[in-house]
Amino acid sequence: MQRNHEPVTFNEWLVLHLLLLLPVYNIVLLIRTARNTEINPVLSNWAKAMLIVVGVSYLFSILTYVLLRGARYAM
Amino acid sequence: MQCNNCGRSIENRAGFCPYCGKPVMNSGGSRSITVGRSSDCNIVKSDPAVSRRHAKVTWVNGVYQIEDLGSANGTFVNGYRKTIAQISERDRITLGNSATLAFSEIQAALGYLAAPAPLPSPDPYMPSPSAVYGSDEITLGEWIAYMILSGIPILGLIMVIVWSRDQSRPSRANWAKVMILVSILGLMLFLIRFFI
Repeated sequence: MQRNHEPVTFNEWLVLHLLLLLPVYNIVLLIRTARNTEINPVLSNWAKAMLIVVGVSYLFSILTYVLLRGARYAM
Repeated sequence: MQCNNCGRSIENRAGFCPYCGKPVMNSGGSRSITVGRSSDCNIVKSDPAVSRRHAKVTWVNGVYQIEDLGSANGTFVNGYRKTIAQISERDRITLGNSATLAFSEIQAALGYLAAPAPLPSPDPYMPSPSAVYGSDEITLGEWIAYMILSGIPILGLIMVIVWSRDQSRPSRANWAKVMILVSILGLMLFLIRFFI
């Protein structure tokens, strides 16, 4: 099936960002969008980038928390 | 426009009829081709009995006519030597003593002349439209860069405003507009919480 290469409209972005406010569903939505090979590659790449950025942010937060906690117990 | 072979209605400027597969000539105007041994001719016959420029076939308003161009061995239509003659699909045309000229060859050569010129092949040095106007494709790396840049205070907002005004990449521009809207809403919520 041919991919849709039409530009992503303002409304589409707005709906996507509103859906990202929903807990749990936002992760499901990002994973489904990132894995979907039939949708616009712009959206697919955006979802992948979001997953990476969010994943790295979470990892960085956890790492910082653990390090700070460890430092506090060490003192 | 109608096919002058089978009479069916076909697209204007069509070089060949899609129904009968034969070359199509427009109803008006005239065309001519040359037949001979010379490579300059439209139909080349390598038979030694054929002169370099042996005959000329003219098509005028749907009528085919063959004219001998002073050949050494003559042009024959149905076995009779002719200087000039009207010909049709049923006629047997011979150049010199043995070289036959099929009517389909004449039609093909005339049809080739009647066919519209092929479209020019793309110039390899011509930049693609996406190179000129910008591509709307945004790669994963670009997205990560945009997300990191947009997260930087002040600079991020400036970048997002710049991207929202760049219409060469409409997807990014629309995304940037939503990001501006999200930033404004976030700022409003912060101010409401701060003052109330």
